[in-house]
Amino acid sequence: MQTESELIRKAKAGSVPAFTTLVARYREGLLRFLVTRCASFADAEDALQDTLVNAYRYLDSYDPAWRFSTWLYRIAIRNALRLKDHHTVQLLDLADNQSGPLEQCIADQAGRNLWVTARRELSDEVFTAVWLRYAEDMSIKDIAAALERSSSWTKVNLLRGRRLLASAMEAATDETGGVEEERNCG
Amino acid sequence: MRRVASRRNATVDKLERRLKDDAGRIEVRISPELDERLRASLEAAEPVRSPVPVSRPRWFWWASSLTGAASALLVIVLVNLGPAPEAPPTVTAQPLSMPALDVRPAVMLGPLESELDNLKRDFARAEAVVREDVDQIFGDSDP
Repeated sequence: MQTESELIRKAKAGSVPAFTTLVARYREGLLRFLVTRCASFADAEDALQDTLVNAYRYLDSYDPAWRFSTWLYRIAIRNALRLKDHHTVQLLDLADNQSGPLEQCIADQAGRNLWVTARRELSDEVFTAVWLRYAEDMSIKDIAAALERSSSWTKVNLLRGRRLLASAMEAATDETGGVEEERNCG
Repeated sequence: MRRVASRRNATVDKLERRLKDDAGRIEVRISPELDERLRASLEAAEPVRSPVPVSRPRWFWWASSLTGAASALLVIVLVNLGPAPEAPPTVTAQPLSMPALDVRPAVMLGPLESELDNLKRDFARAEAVVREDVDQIFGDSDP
């Protein structure tokens, strides 16, 4: 079992198998994140491919002071943004018919998935901060690095996102008369 | 006040749990086709190496500095050799006679200043609330 730093060293020397092993543990998490950010599943797959290829090509510039996952997410965020710029029309269509890749990937359709609400209510950056915090368990410092923002900005915007989502969740609970609450509290 | 805070904390805990649960409900998997595509694209990619700084001999830097200085001197000399530009004609304005006006400042700033003070107090209160919430939620979780 090779450590992450060993795999990075070998990948920097040009070993594709070492890089493949290195990113294997992050691929599904990255794809899940990109599905929430892209207009279609095909776009999310393209963004994942671009992210991994860019990471491999520019691995020489990776600074070990950062966590490798933070660096990968930073590249993924940039790729998602680039794809979004190219597909603004598709995103507008998505807003109308509400059947984006995120909705298609949700296994349990019995209740409203809060990430769908988050996608609708939050800006891209705030959504990403909330996702990295609660879906990926990243620290404030890593989220700030991935978003290229300050820690204060990250904290304040996470708070803003949480407040919006908490209101949305409470409103949904009120509407369903507590059924939603029971589902989530087990 | 305490009841409001505890209700808010309960909502926050529920929100965190719900976000984690709902993230787990988003099902994605790397299909064999995508896996193959990723492998092929990585095999085809060429790593970009950071450029190694090229060391140049000492005389190179002296020569480039001297060339730069000589060029600057040449430009200064050429610019100063040309004829001096003519001075633009001076226009003298006729003095205007001002009518004697009894001007007194109107007192209009008082309400604005008190409004500004109110706004500053509101802003400070809002900032304190945000700081308290941020410290409560994220303060202990990160170094």
